[in-house]
Amino acid sequence: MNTDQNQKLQQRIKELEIELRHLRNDYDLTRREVDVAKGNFLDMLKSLEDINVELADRNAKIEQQKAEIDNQYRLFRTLLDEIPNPVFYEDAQGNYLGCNKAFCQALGITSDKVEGKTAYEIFPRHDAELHHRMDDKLIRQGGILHYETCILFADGLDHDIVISKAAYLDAGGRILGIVAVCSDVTQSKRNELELRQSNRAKDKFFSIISHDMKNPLNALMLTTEFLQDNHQDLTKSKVEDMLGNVHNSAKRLNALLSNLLQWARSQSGRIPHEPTHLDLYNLVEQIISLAASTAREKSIELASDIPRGMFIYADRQMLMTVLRNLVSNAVKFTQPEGKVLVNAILLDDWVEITVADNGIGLSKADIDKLFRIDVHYSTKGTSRETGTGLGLILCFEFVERQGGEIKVFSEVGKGSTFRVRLPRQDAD
Amino acid sequence: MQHTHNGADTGQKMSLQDLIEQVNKSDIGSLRQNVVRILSLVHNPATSAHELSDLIQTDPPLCSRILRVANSAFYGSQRHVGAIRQAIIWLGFNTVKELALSQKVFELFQNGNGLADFSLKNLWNHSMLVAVGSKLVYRREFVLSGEEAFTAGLLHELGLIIEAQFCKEVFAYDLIHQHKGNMRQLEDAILGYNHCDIGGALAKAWEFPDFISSSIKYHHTPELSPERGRRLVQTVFIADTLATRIYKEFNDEPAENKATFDACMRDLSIESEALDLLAKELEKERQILVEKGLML
Repeated sequence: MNTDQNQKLQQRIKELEIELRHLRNDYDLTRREVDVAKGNFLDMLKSLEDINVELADRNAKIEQQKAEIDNQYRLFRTLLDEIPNPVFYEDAQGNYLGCNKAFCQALGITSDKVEGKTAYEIFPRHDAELHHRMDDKLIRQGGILHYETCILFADGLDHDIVISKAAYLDAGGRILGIVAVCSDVTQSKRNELELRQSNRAKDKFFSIISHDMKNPLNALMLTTEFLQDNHQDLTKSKVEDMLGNVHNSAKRLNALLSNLLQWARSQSGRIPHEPTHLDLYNLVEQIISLAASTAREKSIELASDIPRGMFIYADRQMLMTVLRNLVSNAVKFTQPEGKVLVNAILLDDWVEITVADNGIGLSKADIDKLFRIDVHYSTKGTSRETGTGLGLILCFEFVERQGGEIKVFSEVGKGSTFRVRLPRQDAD
Repeated sequence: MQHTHNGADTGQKMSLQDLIEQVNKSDIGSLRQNVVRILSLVHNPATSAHELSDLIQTDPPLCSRILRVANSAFYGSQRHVGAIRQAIIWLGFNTVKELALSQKVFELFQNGNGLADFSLKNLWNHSMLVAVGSKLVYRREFVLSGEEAFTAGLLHELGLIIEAQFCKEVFAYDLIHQHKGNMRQLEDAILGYNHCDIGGALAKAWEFPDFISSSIKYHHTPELSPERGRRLVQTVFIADTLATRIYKEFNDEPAENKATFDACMRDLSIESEALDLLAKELEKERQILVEKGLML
């Protein structure tokens, strides 16, 4: 190896030594930096772990809160569904948010037909307008309001409903929506009406006793007292005349009392409805014979056109009362020389019995009062016969209880026709 | 409103102090806080990865530029790097620090307009090479991480950046004469001071650390720098020379100052064989910079 080569080799060795030094330096530095980076990396990792722990913690809290909210919702739901009154709730814009079971049952719909709907999609238009108007008012003024309306329920009946609505607020006092509770007042209204009616009936009862019974009784007492004191001074024919009056008064009292008792018993529901097959011809004949003497006195022609052998399925006592009252009324309100005719025909579903007269007749206004217990209506007959106003009310009740109907056709001065229809029950 | 200096013709000269004041009132002045903040963070050994990522996240343009580099061809991440914390883990703490600093300094370069754009692009590329070269010398020769060297190299031409935007006549003259002259002589003639003075004065005014202002002010005359910190100034000088050799698009001196260069080599005990190796390394680093998208 010559010097030149040797020199080149030495040079190369030196270069390699320097390169080695550089590499070693870089290696040392890099190792230190890797250590630092490792530290940083672990640091970052730890912070990520911290974030994970925090997230897990937060998740757990959220889960817990969710469970609490869930439980509260269940409580709310149970509470809502166990309330017997229909309840619903809306947002401030009038969108129905939900309802309870009672509401669904009352309207015969499922809750998904309520949620997210407006009043117009749930109720008929006219009702919806009312609800909408009330909601508007409540949203404007806040607080609570009540109103009454009539709602068609799933049972097919109109129910009288009082709706109580309250605005519910957020923490800041802003109105979020409306909670509504419905109270069905149909029964209580009916009860109230019945109570009022029975109160009137009681009043009528006392008025009849005090007024209609007292007069004939007074006449009876005065006449009998006079007879007791003076019968020796009176001629025989006078005595007979007065006794006739006494007898008539007693008869009227008897008729009145029997009506009154029957009516009182019917009011307390003690008259049983016991229909049997009745011979209508015979029955009407009996009634005509009872009224015949009065008719004769007024020279009124009283007749029956009912064919022999016509049978009817009805309660004997009730039908007797009805026809007796109708016939005696007809005689009462017919002038002498007038005519009263009883007739009956068979229709497909009904037996139609009519009592027609050509008497004084009734005005439209009077017809409306005839069958009402709460309006006292009593007119004297053409021969100043008194009445109680009770007869027709009994007729109405007894016909109705047998599933029939009673109607009046009349014209003032021309006469009246009372038509009774009773259901045919030939099959029984 | 920008006061253009036209000393050569009119004899009206703006003092260095006036120039610094004008810079401070300009857009560049508004970058001062950001640059100083990132400098102190980068050079504080106690800085944690969290602090760095927090700082970057408060600066959306910086954040997006770092993420762009993190997703560049060089790093070739299979996964998209979408967060600064991820970038720190993926690229390394030091790399992200360097990126943050470079991008912040890059903003200083972006304030130019029209005339000097071409030169500014070359100036940026040169500055990046000097930064990387200085760091390389520190690591290979002094077994030091070289963060300071990187910063010093990056900022050493701060004066030229200012000049390009506030003393356009110098650049205009330079362009007309096709880089034939010595920039410093030209500046001294037109302005009465040169870019070393400007950079040094601004670094002082902005309260940069001493090692940075020295390496800016004395990067052409390391022998004049204070004893303390001269090693860094000399390292920047050597890296400056190496960078000029491999990247010829920018050169503010017509010829290498051989005497100063040799003195630096001697003072720093760098053998010529080591310099050759460093030059080769720098050439490789240049390629890497291109791949990272850090060379324009």
